[in-house]
Parts: sequence; C-alpha cells; structure tokens
Amino acid sequence: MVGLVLVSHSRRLAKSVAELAMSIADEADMPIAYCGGIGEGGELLGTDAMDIQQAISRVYSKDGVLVLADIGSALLSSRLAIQLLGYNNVKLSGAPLVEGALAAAVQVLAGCSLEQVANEAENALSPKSAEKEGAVEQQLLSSPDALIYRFKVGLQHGLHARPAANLARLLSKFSSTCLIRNATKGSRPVNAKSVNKITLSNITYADEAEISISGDDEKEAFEALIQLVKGSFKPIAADAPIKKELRVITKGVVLGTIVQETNLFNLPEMRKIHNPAAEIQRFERAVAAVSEVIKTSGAALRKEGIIEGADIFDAHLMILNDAELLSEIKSNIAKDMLCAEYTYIKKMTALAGEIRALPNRYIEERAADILDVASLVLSKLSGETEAPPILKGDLILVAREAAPSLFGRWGSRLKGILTESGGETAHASILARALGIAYISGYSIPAENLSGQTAIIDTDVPGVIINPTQELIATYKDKIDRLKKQEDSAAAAGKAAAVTTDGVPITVMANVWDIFSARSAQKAEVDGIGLFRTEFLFFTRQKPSEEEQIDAIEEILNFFPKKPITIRTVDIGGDKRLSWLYQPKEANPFLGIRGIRLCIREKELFRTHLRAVLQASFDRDVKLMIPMISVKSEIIYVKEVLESVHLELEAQGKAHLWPIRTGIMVETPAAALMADELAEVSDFFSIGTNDLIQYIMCAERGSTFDYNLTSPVQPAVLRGIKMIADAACRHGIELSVCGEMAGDADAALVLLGLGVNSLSMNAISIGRVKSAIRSNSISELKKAALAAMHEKDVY
Amino acid sequence: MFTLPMAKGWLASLSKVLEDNRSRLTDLDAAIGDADHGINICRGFAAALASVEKENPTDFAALFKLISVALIKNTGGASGPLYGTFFLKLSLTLTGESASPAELYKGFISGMQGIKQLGHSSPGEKTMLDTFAPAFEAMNKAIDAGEDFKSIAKALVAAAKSGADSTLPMLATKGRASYLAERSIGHLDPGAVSAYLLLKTLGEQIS
Repeated sequence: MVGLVLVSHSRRLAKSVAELAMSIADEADMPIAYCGGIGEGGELLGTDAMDIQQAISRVYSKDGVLVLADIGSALLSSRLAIQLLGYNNVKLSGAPLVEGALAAAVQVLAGCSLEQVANEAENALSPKSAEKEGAVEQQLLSSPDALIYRFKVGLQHGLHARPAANLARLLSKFSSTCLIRNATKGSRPVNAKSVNKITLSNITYADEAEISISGDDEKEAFEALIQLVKGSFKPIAADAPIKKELRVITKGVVLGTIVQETNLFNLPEMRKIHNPAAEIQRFERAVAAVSEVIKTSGAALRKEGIIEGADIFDAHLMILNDAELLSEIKSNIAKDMLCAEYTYIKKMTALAGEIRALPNRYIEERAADILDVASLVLSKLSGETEAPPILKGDLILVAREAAPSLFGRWGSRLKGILTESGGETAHASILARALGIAYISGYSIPAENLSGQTAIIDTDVPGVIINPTQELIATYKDKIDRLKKQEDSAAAAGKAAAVTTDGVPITVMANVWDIFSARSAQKAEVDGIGLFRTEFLFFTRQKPSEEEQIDAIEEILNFFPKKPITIRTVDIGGDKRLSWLYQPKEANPFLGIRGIRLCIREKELFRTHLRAVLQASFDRDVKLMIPMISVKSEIIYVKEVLESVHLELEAQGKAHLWPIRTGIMVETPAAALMADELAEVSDFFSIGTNDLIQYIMCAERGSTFDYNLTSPVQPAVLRGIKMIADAACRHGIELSVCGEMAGDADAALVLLGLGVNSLSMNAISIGRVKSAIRSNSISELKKAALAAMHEKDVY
Repeated sequence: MFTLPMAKGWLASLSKVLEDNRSRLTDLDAAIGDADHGINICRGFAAALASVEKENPTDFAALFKLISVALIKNTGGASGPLYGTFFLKLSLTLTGESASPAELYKGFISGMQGIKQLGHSSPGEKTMLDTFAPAFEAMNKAIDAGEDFKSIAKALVAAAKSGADSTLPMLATKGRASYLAERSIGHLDPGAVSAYLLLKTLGEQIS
C-alpha cells in the first residue's frame, strides 16, 4: 500500500486530519503518519524536515509515499525531507491538505498506485472549485457503440468511498474510455476512473448505475466490471422488485387510505430561455411560495409544542433562503440563459452529492434536507397543483423516502408511513416519533400507484396489508380500539400513587433525555425526574455554548415546574462519540475515557456544562448526579470544581442554584465495593443498573450469549445492589435506581426487596411498574429478594 | 583566506545581530507575512550556535553540517529549510579549515542553487535570493578584478544591502507574502533583510 504522510504547521491539525482520513478505513490498517509543530512536543507552530523524514520512513514501502502538506514552510520542509531521503517513489502532493488526504486515503485503501493516489489527491478540490466557478462541466458523451452495463446498486450506502474507489481502480487498469452515470437520478455521464466523479454521481442504494465502456480493451474491461459488480456491489436484478426486510422505525397500528408520493426527481431538461429577468422573477416567486409552505408546516408543529420537529423546518427554511446560494443561482440563470429548474436542481443535487461524499451521518442528513427543499421548489416551478386529492380519514404515506416536507403537506391526518429506505436517525423518523406516526421502512413499493387504496400497517407483526378484506378491516378496527383503551387505562394506572399492600409508598419517577421523553413524562404525571440525561445537549454539530445549554436544560425543566429533578452531568464516551470533540480510539471504550473521566480531561467543557446546569437550575428542586464514579477523589474533584464555578458565577452576579445536592451514579463494581467511603462524600446514590450489570458480569448487553449472563437478577448483581443499598442506609443518604431494571416490573419488585424505595424509568413503563407495586407487600418482597440473592445462577 | 575561526565567529556574531534585529524582522514579517520570521530565525541560529559550541567541529564540512541540521530542526518557518539547505550545500563544497575567496564563492553559489531549487524561486520574486544573487555577482566581479579579500567582502556587503532594499517595490509571488499580492508592494522582504544581515556579519569577520 502507498503510505501517506500529513504535514502541517500544527501538530494537532495534522493529527486531526489523519484521524479524519483514518475514519474512512474503519478497521482496516492504513499506513499513515503525521507530523507538525516544532520544539518539545511540537507545541510551537512550524515544520521540521527531519521529523518529516522520519514520518516518511515509518510508512515507506516499495509502493512509495505521498506527502500532503499545508502551506509555506510545510511544503519546503517536505521537499527538503524528500531530497534528503533520496527515494524516487516519494512524492509531494500539491493537493489541499484536508480534501487531498481524504481522497488519497480512499485510493490507498483501494490499493491504487502512487501515481493514482497522487492524481486523485490533486483533483480532490475540483468538485468544489467547479461548483464555485459555475464551470459548465465538459460534457462527456459516450460513444454510440460503447458497451453499456446497467445495474441497481444493492450496497446499503451506495457507491461511495471504498466501493467507488474499487470501481475506479478496476477501470483505471484499462485504456478504454469508461463513463458512469446515475440513470435513476438522470445525471450526466462522468469519468468512471475517478473516485471524485463517481462520488458526485451520488449513486445511492437501489439507484441504477449505467457504465459505458468504449475502446481497444472494452471487452476485457466489461468482463472485469461485471465480475466486480456481481462480486461486491450486490446488484439488484433490474426487473425484480427490491426485497428488503420490513424495519419498524416507530410503532403503531393504523388503518387508513394510501397517498403515494414520488419524491424523486430527474434532472430537469436543460431549457434555453430568452428573458432572464422574467425567469429570475419566476424563480423568486417559487422560492417565496415554498418559503410560506415550510413556515406553515413549522408553525403548526411549534403550536403543538413539537419543538424539535419545528426546528427541522427552520433548518429547511435556512437552506431555501441561503442568500449566497440564491444569488449564485440567479446570476447563473442570467449568465447561462438556462431555465430556473435546471439551474437550481443542478446546483442542489451537486451540493447534496458533495455532502453525501463526506463520512458523517449528521451531514448526510443535511443532504437529504437539501434534496427535500429542492423537490419542493421544483414542484412549485413546474406548476404542480398542490391540492391533494380529497380523501377522508387517516392517511398512510407511501414513498421511496420519507422527507419532512411530506409531513407538512399531509398534516395531522397522516398516521402511517411506508418507505423503501430510511432509518432511525433521519429527520423524518424524528418527526414520526414526535407525532406518533407508525413508520415502517424497507417496504417494496409495487409498480402501480397505490394512492386511494385502503391499507393496514401493524408494526407488531410487522406487516402491511394492501386492500384488506372487510373481515380484516373489522378485526383491525377492534384491535385499534382495544389498544386505545389499553393506553388510556395504563395512563390512568400510571397516575395513581404506588403504595405496596403493606402501606409503603414508593417514589416512581421518569427518565428523560430530550424534549419528547419529557413530554411523555409530563403526560404520565410522574413524581419527579430521577434521571435527566444531558447528552443531547452535546450531540450537536459543534460545541454547545453555555447559553445554548442553559436554554435547552430550562426547556426540559419547564415541563416539571414543581417536581424534584436529578440532572446527570454529561456522560460521553463509551459508544457515545461527538463529531466535534477529539476522542482517541480506544480498544475498549466502555472501560475507557467516558463519563466523569472525560469531564476531568475536558476541563473547559465540564466547567461550561456545570455553569449552565447551575444557572438553569436556579430556584428549582434540582440535584446533580455524577456518572461513572470509580474512586472517591473523582467526587472530591467535582465538588471542588462546583465550588469554584459557584464562586465565579457569584462574582459575575449570575443567578444560580447553590448549594446543590450532589450524588453519584453507582454503576462500577469499584463504586459498589467502596460504597461506604463514597457515601461519606455523596448526598445520594442512584444505581445505574445497565452498566452495573455489564461490569459485574463482564457481559455486554448487546451480545447474544448462549445463556442469560446479562440477567438483572443474577445473584452477583443482586448482591452488588444490596451492598450499595446497605451503605446508603448506613449513611442515611437517599437511594434510587435509574437503570432499565427499574422499568422491568418483575426486576423492580426485587429491587424493592433489596431496600430500594425510589425508582426512575422510561415513562412508558410507569403504569406497569406501579400496578405491580400496588399488588405486593414489602415484607414478602424482602424475603423473595433474599432468596434470589442466594439462588443458584440464572442460567 | 576564509578560516574556520572566522566561520565560527561569523556564526556567533550573526546569532547576536539577529537577536538584536529580532523585533525588526518580526515587524517586517508582520507587514507582509505571519510575523514569525524574527522569532523563527533567532531560534534557529541560537540552536545552531549552541550545537556548534557543544560539538566544537574541526573543519568546515562538520561546522556547516551542524548549522544546517540545527536550522532545519529548530527554525519552524520557511527560512529553516531554506537557510538549512544553504549551509548544507556549503558543507558539501567547503572542506578543510580554510578557503580562498573563489572557493567561498563557489560554496555560496552552490548554496544559492539549493535555495532556488527548494523554493522553486528566482531573483525578482521578493525573497532572500534578491539579496544573495546580486551580492554573489558583485563578489565574483571583485574576485575577477583581483581585489583583496577585504575589498571583495566590502563589495559583497554593499551589493547585498542594495539587493535587500530592492525588494521594497517588488510584488511577492513566493511564500506567505504572496497571499497579499499587490499589498506586499512597499514593504521590505524580511527574508531578504535576514540574508543581508547574514552577509553583513560575514563581511565584518573578513574585515
């Protein structure tokens, strides 16, 4: 493999670029080295040719090395380093560092030669600069007698990154002209020997790729291509319907009428215009009209209090009204004398394609948003009639992909969604969850239009029935009624107090982690919030400011004005990684820098977080909980930081909650074993059973074991909980349980028997757990728990 | 003759002069670059001096090699590899403990070629070459005219001065200053000035 060396004036920058490049590799090993900075530890800005020389040697092999550098002395030092080494297969790239490194990494992984790696790196900027200059791409036309191969891509993430690189590498071996186009999206043919070009074709799952090959070795290239496609691109036979497993995104049972959307668009025809001023006016009118549509959709959600949903539409509005983009499109219309449809869609699809090429799912989501906005503008421009056919009752949307704009169009009558693709993280899914819409993805849409037909969605099966018999309709009407009643009675059960048959009141609280869970908890009229997870504050595109954190925390606290709330400080690490924070790769992240350990490392992040929590909690009944405590010093450290943050806020005259009761989440075996000592410096304990079970049993919850290692009632787990409960009791501090065990009615009863009298769980479990509490007595539960502790293994 | 003690004295006084001119060079660089030339070059030559004092080399080749490595490792900015290359070439052309003016000239030309090659630049682009090129040309003329070493050095330094000054109206096309394009006009190039200081201190040693 070709080695890569990244050189920057800043060692941290070089390191981050290396990480970005390595993120493409997943698990694969890539010979990559970085260097930068001078002086001890490289903390001064500058470059050192000797360092570069060593970096090159580290990744050098007979395949050669490509050096990518930032500016000025980095280039000079690199050049000098190469001269000093005297290898003739070490090249200095003229590519921009970041784009070049990513493009080069893809080629390296594909096993390309030094020359190919260098070429792709050098061209890494061309998609961007072509956009910027509005350059009309040289139109490649495939030769009329070229060999043409079409296939539907069955790769989940489409033809991006490694598959694209493999395709480019294979075709590069042949002298024939090889062009690729996205037949589904109607894109133009581009050079199939270039990863950048393939990526910009934006060939996603189930899109039809068309590759044409013409030249002296076309037959050989064609054969090789077919082998590659069949072997690694999971082609979907063009005539066969797409077969995928139904995937339940949000649960529900719905009986309704289908509305089918074709939220797909082809690149519009390139139509010449003669009056650019009129065309620009037409474009502006369409944008203004779409602006209104999006605003209405957002306002409707905001009125319902569905803030996160409304935010999605706000984001769409920003994409639509991006001043720079609009002025560019208008000037392009005037310059190229081409219609608004073509100019706009070309720009937007290119933008989305570029974004899709980046390996980041948050950004990926933005590409979907861009296309959604583009489709709205296109349909306005094409003068499509907006009025939906008049249908009565509940609606089921059938679409290739669910896009937020579709929710806006169908409003509150929309009860179910069936799509071919789409996942849990997409904006459409967030909306579906917020609005309680049943959503199934992976549905194969038949060729004929289903609009107007009756259908049933049942996510319990999961299944979809189109045109059900009258009998089935009747059955489902019953089922829907029954579910509604169950929901109502569970809600009622949830609201009544939880007192055992021998008169012991148990506090039942809810866990919240975002606005939606807060809304559910509010509806359930809980006693309080036993666990307020703050990670959502940090799953943002960039580091959240103090004010942003205060606003977001207050928004949740406002749901529960008079109730006690336990805020847990941010628990990042483990499986939770942030796009904007450097978190080193760890062999075993769950045993690594997570929870309080990360906060101790990221001092500034932690201080800002605590400042926000204290301020947002002013004049409220809030406690603070620290996750992942394993030694007493960690608690003492947090208390010191809290004290200093308090003094700072005091000095700045900022209102905040002080003093604040501070306790810990007991979730490590170390904390359980040292519970007495930790209790001396804690105001309360809350047992995080999810991690405690995993750590006590050394068994990951997500793994499938041949026997029930992760059972919450393993005697080892119960004894651990008993130790913690006894220590809390001896020191007279509050004790609660906030893991999933608390929400499992059977396991919750065991917890009560072990001495726990406060439980916090997802709102949905409250009704069931309260019912169970009401039909048991503590004295009996104590006996049962004692027995369970001394049971044989749960096997 | 140019001798080893002269060369060592040159390094010591250059290091001091650069230190005295540190803020001037940095200010010049602030006008058209990234305000680090003075800091970088002082750090580089101070390290070179320290290394030479520690190792106490006994011939030109070893001396210039030490200077070269120290500059490359410690300077940080573009001047590190450039001056580093200059001294590296000197270490390859000058051997023994003394050199005639003609031999010294040969070494300088080789050093300047190294800079040209590494920086992909030539005189007239607002760089240290605008000092070196006319200075070495004047040196060559004086040697051809059969002048004594002191006069040769005098001619070298005078040409270096006017060479450095000639960068004032130039448009930068190389290095960080090139980002400023037209706005680089009207400022002296800090690299050209440090190159002048390098030759000026050499001249002082010879006199």
